Amino acid sequence: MKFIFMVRTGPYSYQNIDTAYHLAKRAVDKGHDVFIYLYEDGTINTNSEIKSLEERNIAEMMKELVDKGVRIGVCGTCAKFRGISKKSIVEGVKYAGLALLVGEIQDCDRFVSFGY
Amino acid sequence: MPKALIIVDTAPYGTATCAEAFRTITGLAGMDIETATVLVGDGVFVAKRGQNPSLIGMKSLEEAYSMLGDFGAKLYIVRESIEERNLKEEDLIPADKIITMDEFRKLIEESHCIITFHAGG
Repeated sequence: MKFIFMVRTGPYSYQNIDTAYHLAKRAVDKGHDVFIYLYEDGTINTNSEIKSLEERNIAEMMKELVDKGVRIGVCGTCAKFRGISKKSIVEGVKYAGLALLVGEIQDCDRFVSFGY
Repeated sequence: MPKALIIVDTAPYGTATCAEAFRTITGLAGMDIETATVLVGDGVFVAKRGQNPSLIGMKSLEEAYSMLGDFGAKLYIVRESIEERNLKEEDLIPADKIITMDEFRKLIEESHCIITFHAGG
């Protein structure tokens, strides 16, 4: 089954990215295909400059998902609005527009949006 | 073809939510995704005529949402939400249809992907 998780909130202030992370991790472990699209403040979750002190590091969690085969895309326009450049995002994450999401939607089985 | 349903349930200004919803709607519809928008709750104020957001340095969402048809997106407004806010249809920009909550429920059932734009926190 192919899942899409859209996350619209940033790191730490909300739990959405953590929920998407855990769902994605379990889903790929069970052999499902997962695409995460980070939109609006959600783009901040892939900022490789995140320094979380003793807390979980969400950027590293995104990298962990990429390494496990989860495909992650960030909305380039949203990222630009927030000063996040291609260079600053986690390696392996695609910096792209809504066209990427549209392409993924075409054949997905479940689409879950995490917002406010 | 997948159907996308965009639900907007928050007032037009004060947050970027409704403007972000507009970008999403036009983006999806512009790439041939069958896209419908539902204004519900305080979201009906997005369709209120006579907005003048230049006073707060923002672009008019009344004008923006009036153009949804040009992108091939449908606009629906929930009747109960209009009435609860003591508005009348003629106070609002034209919609493809004023729908009931029951019709809204059917749209949800028929949609392939649903994105809710709700300001909160």
